[in-house]
Amino acid sequence: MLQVRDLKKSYTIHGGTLKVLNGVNLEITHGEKVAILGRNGAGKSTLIRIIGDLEIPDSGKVFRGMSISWPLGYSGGMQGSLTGYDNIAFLCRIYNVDQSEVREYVSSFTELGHFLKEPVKTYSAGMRGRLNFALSMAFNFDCLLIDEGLTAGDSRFADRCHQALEAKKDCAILMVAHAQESIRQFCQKAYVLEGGTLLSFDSMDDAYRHYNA
Amino acid sequence: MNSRSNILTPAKQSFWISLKIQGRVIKALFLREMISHFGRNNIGFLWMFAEPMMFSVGITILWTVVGHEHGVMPPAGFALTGYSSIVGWRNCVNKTSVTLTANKGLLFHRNVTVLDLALTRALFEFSAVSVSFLFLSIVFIGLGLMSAPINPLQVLIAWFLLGWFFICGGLIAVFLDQKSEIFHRISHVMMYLTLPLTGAFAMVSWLPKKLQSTYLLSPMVNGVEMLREGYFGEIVQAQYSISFLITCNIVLTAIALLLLSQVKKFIESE
Repeated sequence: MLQVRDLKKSYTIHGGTLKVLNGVNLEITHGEKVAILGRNGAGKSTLIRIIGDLEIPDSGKVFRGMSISWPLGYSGGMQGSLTGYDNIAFLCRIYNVDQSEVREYVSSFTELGHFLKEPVKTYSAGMRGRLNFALSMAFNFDCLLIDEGLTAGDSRFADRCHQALEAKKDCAILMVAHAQESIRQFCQKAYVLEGGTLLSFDSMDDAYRHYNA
Repeated sequence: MNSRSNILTPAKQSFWISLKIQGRVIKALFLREMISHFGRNNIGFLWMFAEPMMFSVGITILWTVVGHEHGVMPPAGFALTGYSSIVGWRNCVNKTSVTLTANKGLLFHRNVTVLDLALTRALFEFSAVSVSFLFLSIVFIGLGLMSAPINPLQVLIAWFLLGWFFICGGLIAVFLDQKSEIFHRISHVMMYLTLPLTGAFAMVSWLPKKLQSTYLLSPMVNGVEMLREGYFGEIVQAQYSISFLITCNIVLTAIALLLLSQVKKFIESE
């Protein structure tokens, strides 16, 4: 169970303050797959970053009752000057997981082949997203935080991700993306982040109706 | 595939588990540091030692030729003890201060903290200088430029205490570097201006009596004096206080840990 209680966060800009999150509440249970919709700058990434412990909220609490991945996106989580394999080795040491299994899994899942021997900074956004996602799958997190991460790959890779996630019924997802297609493919439930708070909807269609209105 | 308990990091965990994770993370960061710094090309991570070594050798040659004031000490020994200390101080502060700029992306992983990154880089730089110091000592002794240390244990303790001081300096520099852009611009000048306070260029006993007690207020002077006494014996007339150096180190450690715990609040993320 992941619980977010009354989260508030503001940033200082031009001497004033910008309230990005103003009392966000959220609960995700095992296996629940949730999307967050919102306009650019609504605070979606900020929310994900706070849940991932990358930023400290002004007030409010995050209870992490399950293991949570790092935010999977176009950047972050990798070291550009290291090769794909070196990055894998490093993360295995950090998360205390056997390297050889993960190397094998990641190279077959991402189909990156000999690119894994090249520095990650030479990868395209799509390749980086693939590596990022494959690694997070290899580590068996209870909950994946996805910040536009899945939309990076091509449709073949998206199908792969979908299958992999289907196989892990109890893996929860919190996802931020603009592509409606991938959200509908991966999630059953959607919230809209608006005016610093989360609006809950009964169905995906209701959420989209509100969001597009 | 992998058991879940391995990576589960609940909000509250016992001190020992935290310590274990921190040890594991620092080890991983250290290895990563070696690879990303020097790559796998040409002499690879041997650069780690070669870089500070070239500096010490150059200065030693210069001082031997020019005939820098070195009292009763052999010129090579005087230069080696002094410059190893200076390079340790300079590298630990300058190179540690920029570690967050380069490695911010790693903070994506919850196990990796600002303290881990800062501590690893500082330890890394100190290890590099230590190995170069050790290697050059052996070479210089082998060439007959100086004799073996009279009191190796004292040398070891003095070097360890100096290292503790350098690492504290490095940790505090990480905070300052993140806090203000100005630090980045003035740090090199500042480090240059601290050179007289390192105690590398002159022994306390060479100074006028009136200045000596003031000079000894610099923790590093105490460390270098102790180091030289360990190497060359009582004839160098070293003056130092171990308890003063240790007290300074403890206070600096507390300050460094306190400051680093604040960094996450204002760090500019990627």
